[in-house]
Amino acid sequence: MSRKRFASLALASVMTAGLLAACSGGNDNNNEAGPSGEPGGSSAAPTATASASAGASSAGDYPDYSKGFPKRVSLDIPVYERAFEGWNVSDNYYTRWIQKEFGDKYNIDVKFVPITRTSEVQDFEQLLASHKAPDVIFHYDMPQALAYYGEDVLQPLDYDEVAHYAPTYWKNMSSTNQQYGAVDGKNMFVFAARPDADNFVTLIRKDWVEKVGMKVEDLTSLEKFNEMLQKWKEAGLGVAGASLIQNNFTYDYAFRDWPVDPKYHALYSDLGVGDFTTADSERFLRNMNYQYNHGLIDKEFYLRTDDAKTKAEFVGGKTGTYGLYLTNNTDVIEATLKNNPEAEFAVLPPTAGVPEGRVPQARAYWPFGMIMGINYESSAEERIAFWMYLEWMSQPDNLFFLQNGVEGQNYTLDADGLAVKNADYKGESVLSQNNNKDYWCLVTETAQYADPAITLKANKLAWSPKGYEYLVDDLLKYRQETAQYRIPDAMFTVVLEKVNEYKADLNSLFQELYVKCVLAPEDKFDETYAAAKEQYLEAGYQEILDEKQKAIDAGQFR
Amino acid sequence: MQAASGVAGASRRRRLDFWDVMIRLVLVIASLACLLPFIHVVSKSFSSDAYVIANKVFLWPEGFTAEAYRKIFADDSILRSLYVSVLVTVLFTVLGMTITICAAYPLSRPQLQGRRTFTFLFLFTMYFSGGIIPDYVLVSNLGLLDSIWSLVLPLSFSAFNLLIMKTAIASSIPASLEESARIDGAGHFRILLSIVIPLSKPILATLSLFYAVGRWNTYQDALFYIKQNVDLRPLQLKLYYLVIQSSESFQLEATQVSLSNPEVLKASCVVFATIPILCIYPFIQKYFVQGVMLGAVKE
Repeated sequence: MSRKRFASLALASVMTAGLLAACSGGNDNNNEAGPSGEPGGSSAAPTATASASAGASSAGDYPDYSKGFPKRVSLDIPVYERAFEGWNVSDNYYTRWIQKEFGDKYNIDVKFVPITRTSEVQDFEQLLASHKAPDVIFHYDMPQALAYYGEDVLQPLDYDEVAHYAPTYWKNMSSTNQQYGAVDGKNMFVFAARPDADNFVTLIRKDWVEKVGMKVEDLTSLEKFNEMLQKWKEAGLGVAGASLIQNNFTYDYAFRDWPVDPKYHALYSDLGVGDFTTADSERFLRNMNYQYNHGLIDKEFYLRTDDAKTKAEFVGGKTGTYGLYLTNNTDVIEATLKNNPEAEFAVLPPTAGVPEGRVPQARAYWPFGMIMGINYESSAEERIAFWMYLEWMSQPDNLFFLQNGVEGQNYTLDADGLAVKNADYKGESVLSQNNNKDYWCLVTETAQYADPAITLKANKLAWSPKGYEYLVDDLLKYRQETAQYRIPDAMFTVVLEKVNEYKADLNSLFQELYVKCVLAPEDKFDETYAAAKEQYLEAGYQEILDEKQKAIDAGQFR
Repeated sequence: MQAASGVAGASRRRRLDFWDVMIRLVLVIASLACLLPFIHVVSKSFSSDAYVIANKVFLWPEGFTAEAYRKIFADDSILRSLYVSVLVTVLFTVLGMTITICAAYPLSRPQLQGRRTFTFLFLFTMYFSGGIIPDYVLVSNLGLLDSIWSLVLPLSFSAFNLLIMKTAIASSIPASLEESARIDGAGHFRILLSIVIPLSKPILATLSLFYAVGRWNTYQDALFYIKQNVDLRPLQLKLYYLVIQSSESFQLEATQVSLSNPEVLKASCVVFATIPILCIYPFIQKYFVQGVMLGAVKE
């Protein structure tokens, strides 16, 4: 009897334990996804092999592989996996074409390794940990590229070797590579070009603006903009759209002094870390606090954590402004019209976000797109094969084919030589949803023609939703007008350890603190902000500033 | 006396009524909590994109269209993932059940020497496991990365299921039944195949369902182990990529075309991935309530 009871008790406790175990530590547990990748990566990252730099010793006597490698070389190229519907990133018409046109010619197996766009660092770290990482490690953001360097997963490069095997590529990119590619005095990176083009735009409901007796052109300052929002509120139209600031910290540029002091700019500008403690930030927060307390912006902006949520507010007619990359296949305009048939759209002038007496400053892109390093485990042949791949892709014909597909099927050439896309084409050689960019991003960030006028025309075609060409005209006009106020962030030539250490923590702390400041009653703002500033500095920002200051004093930035 | 018991009966009935209502209420709320999100997703999947983007679809489709489903069935990679998922689930369930039965039957027999020790060894893995990184390194070193076996082998034995099975066999199949078979000359395998398994159908069905549903819904191991071989992505992983595919703008990247998949497509994929496993349930459900052993033996 007692044994039976013991058995049932034991069973019960086992069951409970099992359930608890399932809750907290099971292999399938989603919660463990986050941290797992990183330690695996860093622990299994031995230092760069000596053989890697062996080729770098003597310039000039490079083996000739123009007839192909004597032994089959396996070249693993990373490619972003964006989960496009019906698209296989590692096996499609174009990967097969690359193999046929490039791989077979030089006795190279070109293999594409999918890297999830949204968790690319984790993917790279995992692949590095299992020694299956591709030959190229790439990233769009310099701090992360430097973090890879800091983990010793990249090998030093010999630029003469690049120039030897990829003369066309080198001709296009040598100055960028030489200017930005070195870290701690070693050449580590090569870059893709970034032609100057940007289609980010903030749309505003023109019909609302006009309903309250104003014109879009009247919005020449933040004060005017707030005045208009006040009128929107009184007319019961809606509020300005807003979303939670995270990951990209460029929010206070319009509140900064002009002209900028390069050292101040270097100290406080960082895409990954918000400069919460500056007077610029204070001005920004004070305005937002005003807007919030007077009901001028989306009351629940802190819940709008991704684009879909911000978009829903605009499309549903609750907010009157929305920022997006304007493209001809955007669904925003059509969806908004379906929900609000009377809607009209205009581009919000950049000045609408700028307090009177200041200029519409913004962050300029660095003059390069993809930042590429070579895996520390890659052999000299694999490295050279990659240079040859860059060279092959830099040939205008190859690049044009990758960007546009097959003439007569994917596109037709117009009188100017511009490829006009056949949007309905669904055949074998169909391009990926973003025009195969994830393959050709290794050499350039946007498609270009020899003649800038045609490039502009092509961009306009790609950006203009049908019937809304004037939006792109305005976008280009405003971009032209503000060009002089766009400057790139400083780039440090040393690894900023503290930034990497505290970035993630400060990012979430920033969200907490800035929301607190914005939500504070107006008379409590100063108090709240002072306390928050203190907390932010203590949480690591002071250490970052100290480290950066040291680097700035030593002149280790460009 | 009679009156008193009548009153007591009446008050008991009233009290029961109150609790009956409460119980039903809780049940309704609980089932709605499970059902409503699902209905929400289903109606999104049949709505037109404009209304879904504006968050206007709740429990009934707006602007009815089945376009998204047409896209799914036209997408080879999704169908391919469905095939992988089915294959993995079947392999996994068969293997998992085989291992579980082979471990549970001996451990349920009192004459097995050292069965407490063995049970403890299994039990131990429920409390302590290596964790994700050692698991990953193990699978990597075994050369299982990017192979279908990385999805079948590592999780195929569940100590939790083993304990349930062991207890079920021990308590539902009396030793005398086994003894009688032994008198008739049956060995262990004969007893297992002819007596234990046929008499354990309900628990076998239940555990198979546990294994199958667990495997079907898991994508995390695939997320780690299936990296380069995109043909081996199970449906859930495919779905994961589709759904998390961020529509946020990557500031450093020139975005020349809108990259996000339509919300409707995501919703219809969720439905598409859920339906197959839902279809299995009705066939197994009867075993959940069946008492096979009733009256088989009188002691």
